[in-house]
Amino acid sequence: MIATPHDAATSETQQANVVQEVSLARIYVLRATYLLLVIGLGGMIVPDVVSHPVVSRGVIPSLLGAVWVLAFVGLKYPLGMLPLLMFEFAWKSI
Amino acid sequence: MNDVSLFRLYLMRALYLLIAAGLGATIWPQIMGHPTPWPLWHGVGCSLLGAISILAVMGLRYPLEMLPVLFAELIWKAIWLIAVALPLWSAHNMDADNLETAQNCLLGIIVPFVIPWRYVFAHFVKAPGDRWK
Repeated sequence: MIATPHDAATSETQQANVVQEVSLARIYVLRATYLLLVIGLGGMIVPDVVSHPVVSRGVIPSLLGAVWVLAFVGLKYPLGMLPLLMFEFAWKSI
Repeated sequence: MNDVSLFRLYLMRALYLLIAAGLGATIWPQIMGHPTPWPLWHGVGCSLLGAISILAVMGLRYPLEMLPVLFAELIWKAIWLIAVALPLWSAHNMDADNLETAQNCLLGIIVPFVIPWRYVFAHFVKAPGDRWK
C-alpha cells in the first residue's frame, strides 16, 4: 500500500527501474512480434471474418480477430500487452 | 495502482475465476481426452480456449496485468455476435449449436461492467507508449 508521498516516489522509481530493465532492443522485438500478428492475422483471418459463408461457426476466427485488434495496441504498449504473447505461446504449446 | 478500488479488483478476480472454472470444466476434459487424430479446427479451438483459461488463473493474482485477457474476451465475443450470430439470426437460420454459442457470448455482457475503464484509458490510451528510443 502506498501511504506517503515518499512511498509513492519510491514505488515509481522501482517501477521505472523495472521498465528500464527491458532493453530497447527487446521492446522493438516485442513490437515486431505484434506487427507480425497484425500482418499475419490480417491476411489470414480478417477477410474470413468480414466475408464468410453464413453457416460457419466462426468462433476461432473471432478469437483470432480479437488477437489481431489487440496486436495493434501492442505496437504502442508492448509491455502492457505481454499477456497477448503469453496467450499465443500457451495455445500453440497446448 | 490505488486508482482501482479493492472492490473492483475482487470483481475482476471473480470474473477470472468464472472464466477459468467454466473453461476448466468444459475445455480441459476435451484437451486431456481428445481423439487421435483430432480434427484441426476442434483442436485449435480447444487450445485457444485452454490458453485463455491458463491466463485467467494468472489473473487471480495479477488482475490488472491480465486485463488484455478481458479485452480479448470482450472483443472476440463482440466480433462473433456481429459477424456470425446477427446474420444467422436475421436470416432465421440459427441452429442449436450457434444458439448455444450466442447465449455464451451474450453472457460476455458482464465483462464491460468489470473492466476498470478509467484505469484502462489512463494506461492504454492516454499514457505515452513504451520507449521508441
